[in-house]
Amino acid sequence: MIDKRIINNNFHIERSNLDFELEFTEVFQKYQNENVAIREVMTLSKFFEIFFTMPLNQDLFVGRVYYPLVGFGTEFMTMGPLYYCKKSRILKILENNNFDNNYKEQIMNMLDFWENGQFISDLDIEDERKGKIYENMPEDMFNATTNVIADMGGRLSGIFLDFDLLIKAGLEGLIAKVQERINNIEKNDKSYSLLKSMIKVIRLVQREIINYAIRLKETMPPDFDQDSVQEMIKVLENIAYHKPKSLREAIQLTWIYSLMAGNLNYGRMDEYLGDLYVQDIQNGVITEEEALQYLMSLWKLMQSRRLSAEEMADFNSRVIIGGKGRRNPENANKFALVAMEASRRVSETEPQLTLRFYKGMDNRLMDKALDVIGEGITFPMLYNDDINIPAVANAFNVSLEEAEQYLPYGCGEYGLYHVAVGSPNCSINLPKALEVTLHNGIDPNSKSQIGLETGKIENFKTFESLFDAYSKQIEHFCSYLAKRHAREYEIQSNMASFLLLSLLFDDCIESGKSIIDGGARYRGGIIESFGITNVGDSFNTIKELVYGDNILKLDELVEILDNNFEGYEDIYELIKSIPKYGNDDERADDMVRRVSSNVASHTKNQANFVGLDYFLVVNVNNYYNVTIARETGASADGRKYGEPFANGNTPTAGNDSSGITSFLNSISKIDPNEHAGYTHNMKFGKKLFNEERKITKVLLQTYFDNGGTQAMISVVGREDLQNALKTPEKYQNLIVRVGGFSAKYIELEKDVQLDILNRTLF
Amino acid sequence: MQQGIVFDIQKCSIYDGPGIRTTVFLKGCPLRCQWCHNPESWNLEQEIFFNHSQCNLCKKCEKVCLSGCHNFFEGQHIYNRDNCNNCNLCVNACPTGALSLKGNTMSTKEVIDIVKKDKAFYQNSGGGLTISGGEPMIQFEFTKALLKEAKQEGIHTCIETCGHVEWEKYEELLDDVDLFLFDYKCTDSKKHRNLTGVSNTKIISNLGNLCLMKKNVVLRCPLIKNVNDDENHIKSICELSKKYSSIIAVEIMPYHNYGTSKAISVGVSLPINLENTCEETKRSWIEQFHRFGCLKLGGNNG
Repeated sequence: MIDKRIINNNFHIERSNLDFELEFTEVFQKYQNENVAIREVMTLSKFFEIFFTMPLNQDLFVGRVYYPLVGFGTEFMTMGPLYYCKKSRILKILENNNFDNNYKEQIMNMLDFWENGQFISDLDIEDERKGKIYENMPEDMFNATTNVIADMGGRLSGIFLDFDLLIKAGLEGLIAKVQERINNIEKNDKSYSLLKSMIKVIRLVQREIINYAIRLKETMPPDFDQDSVQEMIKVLENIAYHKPKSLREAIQLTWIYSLMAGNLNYGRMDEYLGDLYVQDIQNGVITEEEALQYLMSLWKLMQSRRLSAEEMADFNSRVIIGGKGRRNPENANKFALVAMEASRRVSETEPQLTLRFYKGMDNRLMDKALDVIGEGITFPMLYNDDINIPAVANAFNVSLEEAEQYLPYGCGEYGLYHVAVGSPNCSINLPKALEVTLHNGIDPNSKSQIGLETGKIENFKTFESLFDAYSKQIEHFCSYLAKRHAREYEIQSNMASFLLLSLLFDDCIESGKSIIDGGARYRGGIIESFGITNVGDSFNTIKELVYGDNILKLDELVEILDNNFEGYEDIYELIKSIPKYGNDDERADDMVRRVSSNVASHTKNQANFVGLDYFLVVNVNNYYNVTIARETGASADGRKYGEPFANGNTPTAGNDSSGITSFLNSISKIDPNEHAGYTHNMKFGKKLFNEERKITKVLLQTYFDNGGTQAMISVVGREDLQNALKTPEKYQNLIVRVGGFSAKYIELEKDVQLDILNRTLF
Repeated sequence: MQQGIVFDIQKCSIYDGPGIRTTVFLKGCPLRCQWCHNPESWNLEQEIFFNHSQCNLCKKCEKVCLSGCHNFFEGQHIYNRDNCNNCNLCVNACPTGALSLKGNTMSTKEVIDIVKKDKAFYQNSGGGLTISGGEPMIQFEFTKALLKEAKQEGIHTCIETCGHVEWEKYEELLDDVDLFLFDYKCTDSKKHRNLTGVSNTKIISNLGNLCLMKKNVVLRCPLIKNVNDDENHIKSICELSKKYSSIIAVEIMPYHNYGTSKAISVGVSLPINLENTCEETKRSWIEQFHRFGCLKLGGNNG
């Protein structure tokens, strides 16, 4: 039944039939009207029949996967959220194969079923996906790229499971835990079906582990020797029914579980693997080098998982190491060092290794981190617990102890380790919000009224009246996004229980509820915001030119922006010369701080109104700062039509021309107490970072002392110098050594630049 | 409030004294070193800096200039400074930044406010303020005021000096300077005059005095192959380093032709335009320093 060709784990696999998809649909239809949890178990049982593929390239662990075209998932990258049907790819297969009419009809019926049913979240049809969530919402609110707010689907991202519990209890222990709860309730209890289904879904995990072992016994995978396959089989047979006794078994179990649960974030790995790692080393079961090989193999599987779902999937799966609140810091630290070495050697984009640190943590971790970063790996990313823990306690309104379990995920949002769900499922384009404010609620692009009518620009006699109008727009948009998020949980909880996720979430077994149905302790949401610093710089410009120096009237400035500065080159140059965020300039930085606090507080305030435990803003970096900027008009900070917004909380490329200390001072001024993660990309030259490590450490330490929350560091080399020659404006801070002194690279004469390019680096 | 003419303030400066520093560059210099890497610092006054490579030949400068300083022929922009009356209209008109001004008048407070911003970085790295130039002592009152302010703020201070200044001025600053970055360029006095325009008598005497007063000194020695890297000079540097315990380090500053294009941009000519120092030459210098028993070679000899 399973297509024989599905032995690769690549989604490009050519399919010659759609038998599996038809059968999966049949199972779904059979249990359509059953309890949500029971239906999930029955469909997953079918789904996992095709899911796992054989190991490749001398993997040390099994766990490569194939995503069928109809199925069940959690995040986009695991094809979810919820039940999915990849219509366009199914139609393509229909086109490429000469199926008989009967078969074709079955497929068309299947597509009809999913398309018209109430159970699906993603049909490759944007509007359809949103349809159910946006019932009762005004039309035209969400038009992905041209409007202020955009939808990112009902994904459940940032789910961190309690793998520590899984490893300590094993699958049987987990079953016992659920059974104990069942023993204490009546059969007619509302949670009975969910708890029973939880046990069944663990049995499915056991079944697949055993199936894997059987398949390995029957078919020797290519490029493997007998011994290594025997070892894999032994590991699988042990973990199916016993708790893992070794590092290898623990990795295998958590990896398979994570694939089946569909979550992409791997949590505090140093905590849950640290003890077994140290135990195995001490007992001579494995050597340091073998442990490293395990992690490198795991890292490669994470990378391959990325390619098995969708083309161009950008995963951002995080492994977290270091930080306060681990139960076994000594063992965990030892593991963390190996994890960093694995990243150094594998040098891939997954996992996105993240180091949390605090004053008093073992210095070797930060030293190792800087060594790895210095090689240009860009991992680990650094997170400052001393600032972030109290800030998260404030923002999420939780205790300091709970805040110790904050974990960054994805592009930089924070979650709380196996107690909170709260995915960033929508975005707000702040420069567009300002543009709309300057046009009385109308988007100049589409000419449609997408915001509030906050007044004609002639009415803004003072800067504060303009800011108030903008603030009202932001509040208006944030309130829709909050309603949208609350509605999403309502819909989702009728569609699925996410059993495998709920099992490893605190309180879900105890309460007999799924993570999205009130089982998770905290149910929140996040808005991804873009262009905060652009709006800050724009307001600052407006304040200076219009309300300060009276150089322009506001309507004249709007006219200039509407014309994308064309014909107003002098004003454009003038705007460029006004101090910008990123130069440790009080006025510029204060304005960005104000804009940040504004959107943060409007977001935060919404939680109560819609019954979420938290609703917070993030300012992170991904490609949205480029894509949604494409149709955003020129802004008063000197950004032309379509040009990208600044990346996360870092200044617009080229605006930060006062050196790295000023840059660091500026970015640490933003209040961390009201958001769920702002990101800061910074580039260091190889020479400065590696040869002046003492200086680098002081720079970072001082930044973190001053309130810096996190840093994503790339250490740049030769190619950056080459790029700096092509686009010097983007490399204002690239400092190089020339003889007995240092100089800004872009200010040097061409020949000097070339000389350094040819000489200094590497 | 004292005012001075500043031509650059460089944050996170890590090669002008210990730790992370802010280096304030002041205009004006009594020397005319043939290898100067900051020729835009020679004149005390603000001046126009013309970077040919950024000029897009738009001729806006030609239109606004009342003195006819900017001329264009055969695709070339010729800037003749002789008639320039420093009206700066051309700088304002220039859209590309090819014409810019070197030297801004700033008050002590303005400078110190900028310097203060990185105080935490100084404290964590043992860094501070470095006043450089040009020769900071040319704007003596301003330098003095900056140093005093910085010390009051608890900021570590360095000045980078060519040494060719009246001793009385150094004497006045002694309490407010933590470290002197003292240039030592050529031992032979006659040659010194040829290469820098002045004799080294005053320089050597000031160096001796500073050392006698137990002030910390880093001797900074620009070396240019076949110009001032004779054995006698290197030996003499080593002797000085042995003689004075106050000299805490000797830094070699190998020649780089970084200054040549800047000299053209400010309309001065530098007689020396040589190849940049190669690694082999640097190694041979270091070897000589070791041979002459200098144990204080440090800093960034690269």
